[in-house]
Amino acid sequence: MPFPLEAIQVDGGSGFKANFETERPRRRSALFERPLRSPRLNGPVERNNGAGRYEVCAIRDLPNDDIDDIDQWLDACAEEGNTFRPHHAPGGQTPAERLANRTAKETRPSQYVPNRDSCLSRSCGRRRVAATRAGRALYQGGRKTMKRSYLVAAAATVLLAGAAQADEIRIGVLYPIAGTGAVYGEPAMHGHNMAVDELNAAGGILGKKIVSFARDTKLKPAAASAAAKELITKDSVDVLIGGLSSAVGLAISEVARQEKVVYVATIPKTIKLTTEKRHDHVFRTASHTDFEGDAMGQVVAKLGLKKICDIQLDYAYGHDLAAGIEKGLKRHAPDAEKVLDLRVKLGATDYNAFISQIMGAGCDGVTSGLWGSHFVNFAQQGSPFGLFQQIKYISGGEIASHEIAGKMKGDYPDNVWSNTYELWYHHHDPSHVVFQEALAKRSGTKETAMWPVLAYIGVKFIAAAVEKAGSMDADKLAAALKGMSIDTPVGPRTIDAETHQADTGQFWGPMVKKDGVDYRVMDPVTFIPAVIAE
Amino acid sequence: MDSIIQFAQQDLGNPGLAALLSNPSFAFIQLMNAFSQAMNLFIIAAGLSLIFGVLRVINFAHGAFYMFGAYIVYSVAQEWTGNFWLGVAAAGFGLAVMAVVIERCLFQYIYDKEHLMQLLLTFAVVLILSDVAKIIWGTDQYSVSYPQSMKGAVDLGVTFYPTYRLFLIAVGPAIAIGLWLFIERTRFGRLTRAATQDREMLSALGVNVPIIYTGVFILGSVLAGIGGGLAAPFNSPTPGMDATIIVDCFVIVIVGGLGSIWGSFIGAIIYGLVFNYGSVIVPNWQDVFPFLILLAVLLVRPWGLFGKPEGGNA
Repeated sequence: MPFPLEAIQVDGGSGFKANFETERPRRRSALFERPLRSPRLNGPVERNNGAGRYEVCAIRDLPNDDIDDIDQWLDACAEEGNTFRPHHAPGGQTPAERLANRTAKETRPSQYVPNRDSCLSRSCGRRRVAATRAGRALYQGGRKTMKRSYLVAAAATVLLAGAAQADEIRIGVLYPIAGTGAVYGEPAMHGHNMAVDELNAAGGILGKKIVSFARDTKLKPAAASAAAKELITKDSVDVLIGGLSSAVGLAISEVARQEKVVYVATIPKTIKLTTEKRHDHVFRTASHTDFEGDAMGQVVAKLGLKKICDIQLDYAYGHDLAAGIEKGLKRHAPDAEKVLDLRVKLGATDYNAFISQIMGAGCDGVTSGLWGSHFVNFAQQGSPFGLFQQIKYISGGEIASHEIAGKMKGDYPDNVWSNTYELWYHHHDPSHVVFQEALAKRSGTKETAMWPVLAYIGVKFIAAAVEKAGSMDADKLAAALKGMSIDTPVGPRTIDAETHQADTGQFWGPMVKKDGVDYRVMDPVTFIPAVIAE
Repeated sequence: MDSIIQFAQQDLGNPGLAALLSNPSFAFIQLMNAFSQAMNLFIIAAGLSLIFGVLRVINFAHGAFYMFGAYIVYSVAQEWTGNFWLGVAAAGFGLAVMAVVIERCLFQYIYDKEHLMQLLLTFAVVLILSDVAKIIWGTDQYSVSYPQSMKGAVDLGVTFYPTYRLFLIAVGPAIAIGLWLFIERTRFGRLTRAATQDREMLSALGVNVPIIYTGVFILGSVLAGIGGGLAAPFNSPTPGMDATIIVDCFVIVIVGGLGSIWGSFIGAIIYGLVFNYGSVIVPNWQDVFPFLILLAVLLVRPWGLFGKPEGGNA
């Protein structure tokens, strides 16, 4: 073909098959899909369908049955259609002329109505199913039809030649927006939008506006990976950001690896993301399970605990954290002995069987990564047994964050030492005061949650990288992110050039009662930096 | 005995089993845990079983009713009044109101329809209710305090055990007996049983069958609400809690036999025992055991331990 494919418009009833679907992202050409039953939006393509069917190649007989001959014949046909024959839609020009005369402003199909939000709803999924069905029917129609759609694709392309708009920076955002995970996803989106709004208010980056395309990961790896693919192929985003839950993070990272798009992981903590599963385009601004486990080892040593019970959730994060704690204990509290290993399924609600095992094991410390409602249930069920009077509870999973403490209030148990990325009442860095005030205004509560800062920092890293790279090219962005340092509301952060991991330390401390408030606060707050001293 | 313990500890490499054998009070606590978990599940499963037994509808929305019960307790007990029991009562009442609306507006139209239709409708209700819950209570995880009088633990001689859990162990059988008396010994109960046998004949005899159906649906839903309310102190009300509970309930109800109150009772106890001892002895397989029982029952007695074969009473 005389020109590269830049974008393809289909009407949702395409006959393009697997080869097409794999080849298109590789060539980085955007796909525009029209809603079903709206031919008026699809005029140019429909006209080309007609052109293909009634005017150009399809009205001539095939030379013979030999596939090579047919291919040659088709090439000649396409050549004629693209460079000799004038077309109606581009005003009597040939497609090649149209391409040559294209001005920068016309990089986008004129009638294209951005309808991205609709894909958050279910109708989008249905449309895709319908498209597949139509495609299958077309395929069964025979090879000749296939050839024809190939031709139509070629012709349609010309009219719509145009890449993603050059004057905006497109960020694909992946958090759980509905369902169980929304408790984290919603505040994370607050932080994300706040960062984007701040940057845009200051004139954007390189004079370009930042536009976010948010998709729901539903806390499921499969949904996350489908959403990530859609963001890349349909919304042609330049970078991916987000991910919540270790399994989801790994799934998004895999898409980023295949599609060669930069992914900044803001929340997932599994160590694998930046060790065995690391690739050129994945970067993490969250902490990870080895840092967390190491800090827990330090706390165990500080409290002088000797016999440790470990209770973890039975999935990527729990397993990796258990390994991290093992290493942390060896390093900082070599004489502490692990006497019990417990695994609880993700989403478990009944912990009594485990609580009595812990109490029977005679340990003086419990290490854990039960997060969110897992911890709330565990604490509520353990308290009547007197569990928290018997042991010190050292926990990862950010249960010291205010969203847990503020909700549990008087039910928050004694003797808990835990971590958090941020505390609204603790100003580690002077810029935190401004950040917290802005966030409070945005979320409508004085006592803000911890998750926003993670999403916020991720966006700031991307912005800094685009600025430095001066381009949205994935490889250049990745190069810029390596070794990059920025200032954040919780102190400076640097991404390691080799491991792609930011030195994200966390605040650790005991959760204590405080006069005048009905929730527990961390006091004293200790910042444990993300450094593993060998 | 010592040799058995040693065998478990060293040859089987199973510290959990050894701990159970060597420490009677630990084994006893697990037994109590099993019963308290079972009784809470029974209250909810009984409602599901009752509704199926009479209405022949498999109500997927039962888990959502449970979730609403927990949320209502949170709002009433934790936010407004501070009285836990008032909260549980409100949960029961709230679910009764919800049940009337849902049964009258939706479910009454699908009793004669095929199972697929019923399934779709109840599943639609699940989706709607979980969104409604999110609109009302947001997505936070809440915590509900234990009632003041049951915060502590009681000395049972062998060991201390949380008062609230003991209370649950007592409530379960009380509800089971109450339900049994209600169905076996009252006029409404007799009519209910008659409705399961021959609906048309009953209606020909001048009984208002739809009212009976509505009544049974309310009763089943109230059980779910109260079950959720009683669970709220140890199961934090949070989105998605409905999905977890409905699976457990289905295991219990199918093992016990759909439609049988005592079946649910025994099914719940089996579930509790298997889960609590299983998670000590083979911790990595804790989730599999309930389903293994389910599988075994389905293979040997597909209609459940206390159920009747389908078509046996047409």
